[in-house]
Amino acid sequence: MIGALSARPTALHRVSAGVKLVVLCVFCTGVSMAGWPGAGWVGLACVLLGGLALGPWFAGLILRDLKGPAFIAALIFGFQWVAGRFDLGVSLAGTLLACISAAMMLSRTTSPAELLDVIDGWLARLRLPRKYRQRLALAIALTLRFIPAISGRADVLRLAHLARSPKRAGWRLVTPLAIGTLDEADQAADALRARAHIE
Amino acid sequence: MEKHLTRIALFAALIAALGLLPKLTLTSGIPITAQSMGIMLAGTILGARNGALSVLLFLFLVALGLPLLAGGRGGLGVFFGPTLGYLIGFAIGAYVTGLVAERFTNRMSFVAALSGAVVGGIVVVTICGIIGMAVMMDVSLVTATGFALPFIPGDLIKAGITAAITAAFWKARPSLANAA
Amino acid sequence: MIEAARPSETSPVRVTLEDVSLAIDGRQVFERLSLDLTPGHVGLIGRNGAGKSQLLRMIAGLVTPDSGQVRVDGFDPAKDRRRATATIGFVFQNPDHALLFPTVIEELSFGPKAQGATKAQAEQVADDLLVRFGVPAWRDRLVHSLSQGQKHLLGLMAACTNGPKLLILDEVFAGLDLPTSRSLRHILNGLGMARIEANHDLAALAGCDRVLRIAGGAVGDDGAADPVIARYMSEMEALPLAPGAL
Ligand SMILES: Nc1ncnc2c1ncn2[C@@H]1O[C@H](COP(=O)(O)OP(=O)(O)OP(=O)(O)O)[C@@H](O)[C@H]1O
Ligand SMILES: [Mg+2]
Repeated sequence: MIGALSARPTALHRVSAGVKLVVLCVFCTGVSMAGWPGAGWVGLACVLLGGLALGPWFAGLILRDLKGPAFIAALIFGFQWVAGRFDLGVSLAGTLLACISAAMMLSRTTSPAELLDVIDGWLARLRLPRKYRQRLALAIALTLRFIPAISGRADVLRLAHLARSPKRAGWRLVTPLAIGTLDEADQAADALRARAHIE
Repeated sequence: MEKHLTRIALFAALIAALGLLPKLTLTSGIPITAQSMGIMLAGTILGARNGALSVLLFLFLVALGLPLLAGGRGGLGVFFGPTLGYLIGFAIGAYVTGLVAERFTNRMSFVAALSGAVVGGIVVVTICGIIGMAVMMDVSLVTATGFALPFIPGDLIKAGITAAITAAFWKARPSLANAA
Repeated sequence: MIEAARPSETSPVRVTLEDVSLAIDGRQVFERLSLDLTPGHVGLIGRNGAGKSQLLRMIAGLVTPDSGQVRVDGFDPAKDRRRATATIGFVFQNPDHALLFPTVIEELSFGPKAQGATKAQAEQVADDLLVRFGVPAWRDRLVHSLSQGQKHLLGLMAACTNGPKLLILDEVFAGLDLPTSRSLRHILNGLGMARIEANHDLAALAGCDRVLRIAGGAVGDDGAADPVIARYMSEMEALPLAPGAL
């Protein structure tokens, strides 16, 4: 599976996904519940220092992930400040950045497949029947298999449109794309039925 | 069974693929992406239950770390921002879209799809988004509503396109309207 | 079950249809069709839209007839899906529709896993299959990255993961270049499974023990390969070349 996972390994790649998920939950809850405006910023500093310990390039990766959220954090802070709630602004912005950076640290070091295995294990322990877990895994695999196929189809449609019309295709593609997707789904259902008995 | 499963999965893939289409930018400067139209389409084409499930599946994949949100975003981080309400609203919105459209004799007619997309895809999604922003940013609902309003014109365009696509879809695959 | 992909030369499969009728979207495709097949290698010919694909899908249990009975080794393939998926392998014309997973190993371990094997057992089956087909290096390849011919081979392998007694092939060679289709055919012959095969490439069916011609919702001609194919060819060549003949 592709994804946010960094191809260059770090020590954190080797930590089990389940442990990382639990730590993330505890960390985010702790930071949000702290009740002290600086908590988020201390949390953020911890995450970034942790990233730095794994390698300066990795800290850089996390910082780049924070670009978009930093803009939002600045907006929130600015808005609260204007509203006369400086402390709240500091706290909200810090918490946001701390939680996002911690979550990105997990996503950057954990393969989606491994994360899915952990979640599947938890669902099994929660006694979710096997057939539902089987369907979830199957649906995920199908989605991943067909994303490149569908966007490839969008490219083909764009060319077909270009060959016959001087205008840009743009969102006009969505109708044939949606119809093609449904047809493809029904063909896949046939193939699935031929291959296995899905409860 | 197989048919439900593959339709849910492939529409999740369609929502992801729509995130790769180029953005339109309105005169107000607010960009609109085709991806949120995928949410409405899931509701109008697959119906309430399957539509909502396919949106949930899409969100689950984003949470697993796949960069499928428009702009190539993904990972657990996106669920911590003020847009969390919108993400939750997507799933509920797809469900309501289907539910409203199913009230009509032909759930895939232009009017049915438009009503569904406006109520589910705009009203419900926006309400969830507003509540999300109010909670995550600690502002009043009125203020949060102010943040949400600039997106409404783009959403209305999308609801219109969704309805047109759904009606065209129904012409191409008439049997689908009965079997949601 | 898990001991997959072993050709079973021993017991031949018996496929029977009794008074089978099938309509699609209000169009009658078959009306009271009866058949008794014991492949070997059975060929299916007929014009576009004659109903070859629908017949194959009924035999595999992918569609249920409106009336009448389909039996494969005595069971109803549309009802008993667990047995059907263990007994019958279906190779689709277009592997882009038939391949369902991101990677080759997931593709090949899916069948056994769905039959109840553990992940490790299923991957063992897949690995054996990869070796047997001479492509162990494909294991972790993305399905998306395979060439069209390679996808055809993978589609065939995917149909073999449950060790079927009967392979159903619906125009699996269409669009392949000569060496690719020849080597696929060579591999198929080596598998030694019973086969029912629809094909527009009549030369490829010359080796069948029996060829059926489907026309007008019924079996129009039936018998040894050479005479059935010869009669079909001369009739097709006599048709006028007008657009209306399509
Ligand atoms: N999805 C479908 N919806 C409606 N009608 C269909 C569908 N699939 C097949 N048919 C009809 O069923 C009949 C039999 O089709 P079938 O695909 O079995 O023919 P075929 O012999 O396999 O043809 P070809 O050589 O073109 O593959 C045709 O008349 C076709 O119009
Ligand atoms: Mg056919």
